[in-house]
This record gives sequence, structure tokens and C-alpha cells, in this order.
Amino acid sequence: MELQLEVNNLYLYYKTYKGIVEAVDGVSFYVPKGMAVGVVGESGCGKSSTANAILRVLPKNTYKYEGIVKLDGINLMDLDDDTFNREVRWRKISMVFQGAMNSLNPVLKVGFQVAEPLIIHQGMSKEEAYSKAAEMFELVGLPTQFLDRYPHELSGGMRQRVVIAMAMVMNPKLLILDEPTSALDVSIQAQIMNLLKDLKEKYKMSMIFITHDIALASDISDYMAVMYAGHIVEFGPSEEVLLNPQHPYSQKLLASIPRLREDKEPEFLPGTPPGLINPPRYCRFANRCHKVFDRCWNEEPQYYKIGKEHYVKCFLHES
Amino acid sequence: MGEAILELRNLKKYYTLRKGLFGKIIVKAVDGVSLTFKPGEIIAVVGESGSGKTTLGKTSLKLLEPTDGQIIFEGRDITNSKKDDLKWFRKKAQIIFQDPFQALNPYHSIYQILKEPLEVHGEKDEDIIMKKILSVLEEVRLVPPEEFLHKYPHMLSGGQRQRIVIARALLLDPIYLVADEPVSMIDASSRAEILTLFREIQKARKLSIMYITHDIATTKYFSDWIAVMYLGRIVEYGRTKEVLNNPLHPYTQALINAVPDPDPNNRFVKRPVVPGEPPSPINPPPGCRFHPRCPKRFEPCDTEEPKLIEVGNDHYVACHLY
Amino acid sequence: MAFERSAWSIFIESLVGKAGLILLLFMVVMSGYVLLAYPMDYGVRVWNNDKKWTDLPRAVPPEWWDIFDPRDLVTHRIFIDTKYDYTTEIFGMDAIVYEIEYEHTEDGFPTGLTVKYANLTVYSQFGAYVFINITRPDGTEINLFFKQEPVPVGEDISFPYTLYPEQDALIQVNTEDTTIFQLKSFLFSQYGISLNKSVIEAIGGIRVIFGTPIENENQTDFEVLKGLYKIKVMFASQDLIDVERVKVIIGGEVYGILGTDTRRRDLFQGLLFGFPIALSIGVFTSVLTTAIGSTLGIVSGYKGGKVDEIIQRVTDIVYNFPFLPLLIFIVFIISRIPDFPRLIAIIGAIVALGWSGLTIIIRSMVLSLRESMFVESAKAIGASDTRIMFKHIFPNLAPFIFAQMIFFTPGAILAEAALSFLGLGDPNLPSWGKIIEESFRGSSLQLGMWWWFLPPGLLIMLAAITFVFIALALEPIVNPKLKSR
Repeated sequence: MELQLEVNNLYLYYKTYKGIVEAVDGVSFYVPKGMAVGVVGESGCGKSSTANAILRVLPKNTYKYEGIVKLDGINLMDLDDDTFNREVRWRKISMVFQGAMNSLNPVLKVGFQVAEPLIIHQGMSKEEAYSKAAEMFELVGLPTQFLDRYPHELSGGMRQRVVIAMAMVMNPKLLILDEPTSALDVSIQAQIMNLLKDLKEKYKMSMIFITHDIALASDISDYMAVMYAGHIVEFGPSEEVLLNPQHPYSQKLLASIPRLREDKEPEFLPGTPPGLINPPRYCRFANRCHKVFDRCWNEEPQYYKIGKEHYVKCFLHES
Repeated sequence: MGEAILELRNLKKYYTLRKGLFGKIIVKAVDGVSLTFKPGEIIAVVGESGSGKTTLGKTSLKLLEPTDGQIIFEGRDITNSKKDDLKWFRKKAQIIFQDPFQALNPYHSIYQILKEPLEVHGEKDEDIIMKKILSVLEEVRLVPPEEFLHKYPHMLSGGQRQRIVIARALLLDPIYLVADEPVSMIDASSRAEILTLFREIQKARKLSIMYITHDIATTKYFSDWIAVMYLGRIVEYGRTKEVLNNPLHPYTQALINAVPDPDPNNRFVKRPVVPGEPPSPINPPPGCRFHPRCPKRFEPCDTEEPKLIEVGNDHYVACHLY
Repeated sequence: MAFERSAWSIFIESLVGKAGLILLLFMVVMSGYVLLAYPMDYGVRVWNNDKKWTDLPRAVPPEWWDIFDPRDLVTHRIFIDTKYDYTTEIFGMDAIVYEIEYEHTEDGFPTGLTVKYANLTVYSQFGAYVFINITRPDGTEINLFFKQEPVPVGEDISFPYTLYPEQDALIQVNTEDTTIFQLKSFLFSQYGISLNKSVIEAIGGIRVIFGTPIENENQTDFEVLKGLYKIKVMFASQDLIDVERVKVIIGGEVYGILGTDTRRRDLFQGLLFGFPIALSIGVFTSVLTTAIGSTLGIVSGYKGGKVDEIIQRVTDIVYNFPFLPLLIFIVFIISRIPDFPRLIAIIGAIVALGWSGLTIIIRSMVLSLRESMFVESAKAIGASDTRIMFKHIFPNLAPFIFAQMIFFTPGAILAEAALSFLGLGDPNLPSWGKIIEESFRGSSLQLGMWWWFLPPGLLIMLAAITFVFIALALEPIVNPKLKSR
């Protein structure tokens, strides 16, 4: 199995006036070629920061940024900013940011916004860029007449398709999506998910799908990474993580989702995750864990491998 | 059983927009909705954007003036009552909004926020006010309650803020509550917690609730009845279990299909989707409003509007298939 | 409160914030000092009262200017004696002598020689004689001046009688006719130079008193005589005589921290007084303007309907008035009304013309705020409009309003300065604008009296900049909060 992306011990800390935010704290996972990995967690667990870290979208107050991010075997962290900008960002890896559909430039036509990166980064002529944009529109299921429309003339779902077209325009190998459907109606959400399934199948796109809704993630993900307080606490194929979760948090997470098709009353998990400024130096889930024991309060568990591809960060699985 | 607390009879809310210098557009946001709320019952109003569900909720509280139809609360017709005559009503009917970040004034402390409804309705005794505030904070499980009084909204998590919003609505001891998407801005994993808490409070106080949502999955645990709205009209209505297990209207079926459960097999299957976008109420299609998107449409659908008819067992649907 | 602390730290981190705060502190300290140390009617009683300034030289630059001028400039000297030094006999009369000595080291001539005395008490009708006499470093002596101080006649005059009880007698020695005459004879007898009285006046009596003549082709020029000078002021009478205080003033070419103007007023004092004036007018005006503007904006934006329409129309009209021309016009008209307190007119006019801009902005902010959920929630609870406007909407606007208030202050300060400069200011208040106006009227520009027009100009700028800096430092705090909500 070939890996499109390999992330090893990735760290991203920010400095704020309140202290240092350890947003991404030694995160490791991988994305096999042509597969989708769902990164699931509550707000504030660091999932968006992980995406930013991979794409090197760093704020001015970055305090620590290190680790290994390999794309097709090449460590991206070795590249300097210029090379990264020119060759990786948007070309090999691109991203649909959270709320992107609402950050389209309201005074520019959507066709132009999709074509622009081609004109600027690839030096294409206007005609070429526009024809590529038209191709993209077809790809995402938008009529080509819409190239001349302004964002406010399109519905939410259509704008989200525009944003996906923008992300795909330079044929990236890996597409990262951060809550791509959170502001959409359920029926439109289903349409967009179908579109993503299409793209994945036809173009063998590798994807990272970030969301707080594990049910939604299951709609596309081959692998699941469950994040909690800056750590990935469980990673593995969807079948294993969804049907046989090993980390107590994953178990509780799955138990708390209201299910339409099963008669399970949702349980809920009381309490809140620890903040990312000065987080506990022992297991971060200890105070809410139903299987907690002594060791959990003293050390941080390592990442233990419990199956061919299944990893858990929990002392219960120390092997 | 009890008398109906609130009856909405053929309620309509139209907006008039000016187009150009002389033209007018009428937006029929709510176009003839009838619902009856009995004490202690939750009716879920499910729909997408453009369905009119939020407008329905606000109109039922007279936060918007109805264009037609009647609102009968505790037997009194308040359809045309003026703002000044409704203070008694405001005590008994409250609303909870979906965005916990926006529903609380960022410049007020929790104490000030919770004090307000009591002050507005004339409570002056500081001790009584404090007692009520502490009691309602405990009810929403924000304990110890004293710790929260001096905090400001931005210091609390989304879930905590939403609980404050609920607490504020409960202070005046209402008997009817409109909950407009109360958990849609909260993480999926925390929704169950809030809804469970809310259900307990509702049962203890015998509140009637209009639960407005676009997420049909939550209705299973938080409603007794479901009314599915599309473009200002109810297209299906019935007991929750019945509607979820046996959805009759193609739109209801689509809504149910659109919601995934956490199942690894989902990724291999494309969901059956209803094509197109939820339409805007400015120009509703002729005949059955859903017909342009309906996978099961046939002859009469584009000319005649189907009426809401009972198909047995308190289950109503408005569709030519029946 | 967490976000107030972060607002403060953003403010304090910026350079302009720090600078603005330091300047503001400076202005407040200066104003505080003035309010404590000076009486409230300073303007009328002292500043505009020429009699209070007779001890100072006329229109001279500050003392420190000496460093920059290649010549050694003459210091201004005031000698005060309250007890006579010895007695002597003049023309058969007993006289008390007040003698002062001073060393003239500078390259220039003094600007004047003035003698003042107070409370001259005579014991009989005879009165007294005053003689002024100078001994120069070269040993020569000049009898400069003499006069008789007669006693007024009348039934109510009793002895001992005191002359000059309230106001000192003032003798501008170097310009007195008597002195010029004496100098003419001195020049002839000492140097054999014959000059007309008018020529001596043209040259300046002071140059003769303190200099030695040098022949220069056809003219007579004078060179400064450096060294020890003794000046004697003698009071003679056939009877007893008493003087409380004698002042001898050797006029300098420089004076004080900021020099003097043509009315001999110490500019440092006058400009000092400008601090509380600028601060109070600036702040008071902008507080009033902001209060009116934001209240109207909130009411208009929230209420809508007819109220909104009316307020909007009025606001539009006032907004489109040209501020400065109309301001000048209004104050001018009001100044024609006798006895109308000018300061109130100025503040009133600035406020009346300035409130509309804020109303427009606040109104549009309120339009969006009134749709927010917490306002709807408040309505659902049954809160009244007034309550919502002032307890809900206003706090959300408060930081912005506060920043606007600060931003308006320099405008108010400049408007007042402009009005004063045009002569429409309050004549009794030594505001900076007024001082600039007087300096222009006194031809300070043409005469190069930079110390008269530059400092007030710089101070006005400083006051304006203080508030501009503070407003700039507040901007990042005010804006993102509005955006994120």
C-alpha cells in the first residue's frame, strides 16, 4: 500500500498573551493513496491546526513547528518557504477551509476566482485558465454559465462547489477539507458528500476530511483519526474504529451520537476537554475516562499498535 | 391530557418586498400552518432553509405579526393583540435561539443576563431574584451556580452558553417554549447531553415545546410529534416513531436518507439525494411545491396542490401518492 | 475581565499608544498644576492687565536663546530694595538713598532702565524729590533724572500721606525727556560731543547711559561699557520721608523660559494657562458632541419609522454644513450679542455642528445590532425599547463611541484655536489660539519673533497629536471586536 501522506510527530504551538497553546502536540497518522482519512474531534481539539500545520499556513505567533510531513516520500519540512509555496501549496496539497464558501470575494466573479491561481502561479493565459475553470465547474457539477456569476448570486451549496473547484484547479494529489458541509442544509450536504465520493473514485483523490461529526466522516472516510486535546488518540481503518473502538474516548464519542436507524439511546460524556494552554502532562482524557486507573494520572500514554493498522494512545493497550 | 396550550390555525406570514419603483414581491414564508400544542408535548418542526420553520416559531410567539390565521393561547385569541397587551404572554411563552454565541449580550455578566427577565417583569426583591437565578442554574446543571454569576459569555464553552440561554428562558416559568435549532451550533458529541438535559427539564416542568430543527436525527430523542415543513407548508405530520419508521412524503424520505449514522459502509454507497436546491419562497412552484425535485412526481403534481389528509393513526401527509 | 485586559495590552504594546499616553499624562499634569497654582480669573485680572507686566522687558526671546546667539545677550535684571542703604544730603535736603550695583558683562546694551517705587510716605505738604543717578565703570557719573512728587491738596488729606499705595510709580528713565536733556549735557561735558536731543532719542538714551561713544565717520556710535555700575535712587525731602520698596529694572534682551510679547507678558505663563483650556474645551466639547450624536444614532437606528426619518433628515442637513465656515459665522454672529459668554458660544457652536457624523455611523451599527439574537431574546422576554437601547445596544457600541470621542478631541481643540486665531475667541482666556492671534497682530512673523508664534502653534499640534495617537492605538481594539461579533 502506497502512502500519499505520512505525518510523524507533528508539533504546532502558538504563543498568545495567555500562554503557549499546544494545538498540535506530536500527531502521527498517514493517508494511503486514493483514500480518505477522517479527522474527528470536538471543537478546540486541534484538528484545524493540524491541517494548517500540514499546509504550512502558520500564524505570526507560531512558537514551535516541527515534525515530519512526507508527501510521496519527500519530507516537506525540508523545503524552504518559497519552494513550498511554489511547488506544494495548492499544487500538490490543497485545502477547503472552514467557512470558505462565505469568504469568496463578493466583488469578483466566481469564474475568475477559480481561474486566478492558474494565471498567477502557473502563468497560464486568461483563455487557458478560464477553460480549465470551466472544466472544474463541470467536475463539481456546476453549469458553465455560472462562471460569470457573483458569489451572492449562488446558493450555499453552489458556493461550496465553487470552493471545491478552486481547491482542485491545479490537480492536487491531496485535498484537505475542514468542515465542508457545516453550514449547509442536510439535503445539500448529501449532494456534496456524493460529489466528494465521485471525485475520490474517479480521480483517485486522497483526502483528509476534518469534522466534529463522526457520522458524517463515516460517509467518506476509509480511515479514522480521533483527536482529543491536541493528540490523536486512535487511528485505524473505519471498520475498526467505528465498529470496534478501543480508546475510551472513541467509545464514548460513538455512543453519544443520536442514531436514526438504531434504537440506541445516546449516552453523553460529561465534562469538557482540557485547554490547550498548559495541558496535563499525563493522559489528557483521565478526568473523563470511565476506564481510568492509577497510571493514567502519572504519565502520558504512547501510541500503541494493536492491529495491522490500528493505533491507540491508551495504557489499556500497552503491548 | 389537558386542554391545548397553543393552537395555530391556518397561520400565515407573508413579507412584502419592494421591487423597483412600483413592483411588489410577496414572500410567503409561512403559508397556512395549523398545529396544536398540548401540555408537556414536543412537536418537532423539521425543514431546511426556506421552509419557514423559524418564521413559524417567531410568529407563534408574536415576535412577528401574523398576516392571516389565528393564534390562540390558553384559550385567548392573541392574533391581533398589541405589544403592550402581551406582557402576560411574554411570561408564559419564551424562545431559545440557535447561536449561543449571539444570543447572549457579550457585555453583560451571567448574573445580569439572568436578572433581566425578572426585572422586566417587575421583580424587585434582590433575594428572590438571586434565589431564582441560582435555582435555574442548578436546573441546567451549571454547578456550583455561584461560580457562574460573575462570568461573561466569552468565558464559557458553547455548551455552557446554550445552557444559560435555556436557563434564561426558564426563569419566568413559561408553559410554551420555541427552541430554534438549539443544538445545531454545538458539536455532535455534545448534542446528546444538552438534549437529554433539556428533555428532563421539559418533562419535569411539563413544557410544550416547538422544536425547530433541520437535523431529523435528533427528533428521535427529543420529540413526540414531527411536522415536516417545505416552503411554508406542512407536508407530513405524525407521531415521531411513526414518521421516522414509515415516512410517507418523498421529501421526508429524502431528509431521512440524507442523515448518516456512523457506519463504515456509508462510504461505498452514494446516498439517494433530492436534486436541486431548497427553493426560495419568493416564487413557489405551481401545484405541489415539491414537484420539481420529487423523484416520484406524476400527472397531477404540477397543477394541483395536495391537501393534508390523514392516512391513519394520527399520521397526515400532503401528497398525491395518497 | 479577560477582554479588557487584552484590550489594554494591545494598546500599551503599540508605540503610538505609549506615546499618546505619555503626552496625555504630561498635559494632565500641566493642567493640574495650573488649576492649583493660579486663580480662575487669571485671564482678566493678570493676563490682560498691562500693569502687572511692567517689570518685564518688551518682546524678547527666552533666556536660553543666549546659547544660540553669537553675542552674549543681556540678562534681564530686577533689583528690589526695601530698605534704604544710607542717607545723604542733596540741595540742602535730607535724602535716603537706595543704591544697587551690578556688573555688566554682556556684549549688548540693556533694553531699558526702569525705576519703580511704592508707598512713598510724606509727612508734610512739602512732598518729596526723586533723584536718579548712575556711576559708570569708567568712573563717570551721570545725574540722569529728577522729579518732584507733590502732595495733592485737599481737606481730606492728612499726614503722613502715602503716595503710590496701590500702583507703583514708574519711571522709564532712558526715555524721559529730562534724562535725554541730562545725557546731552553729559555727552558734551564728558566727551565734547554735541548732539541734538532728537538725535540722542533716535540713537536711544540707553546707549548713551551704558556706552562710550566711538567716532565713526560722520556718525557717533556707541560701544558697550562693561563693568561695575552703581545706580542710586534718592528720595529727598525737607521733612521725614519713607519708601516701602524700590525696584530698579535693567532691561534684558532675553527673559524667562519662553520670552515675552509686545505687552511685556511672560509667554511661559500665558502658554501654561493654555493647557487646561485646551484640554477642557477639547474634552468637554467632544464628550457633549459624542453624547448627542450617539444618542440620536441609537434612537434613530433602533426605533425606525417616523422617528428615524426625522432624525435622519435633520442629521443629513447638519452633516452637509461646511463645518469651519459655518462655525466662524455662528460665533461671529453671537459675538455681536453683548455680554454673551463667548466660551459657551464657542463650545455650543462646535457641538451643534459636530454631532451629525457620529449619528450616521452609529445608526448603521445599530441597524445591524438590532437584528442580533440577544436583542430578539430581550424582546421575547418583554423588555421595553428604552431598556434594549441602553442596556443592550449601547454597551456593544461603547468602545467604539469612546474611541470616536477621543478622535473628535483634536478637532475640537483645533476649532477653538482657529476661532481664537480669527479673533472670535474668548478675549479673557489666554488660549493658545488667542496667543497666536495676538502674535500675528503684533507682526511677530515679520519681526522674527519666533518665540511668540512657534510655541503656541507647536502646543496646539501637540495637544491634537496626543489624542490622535490615543485614537490610533485604540483602533485595533475597537474594530475587530465589532467584526467578530
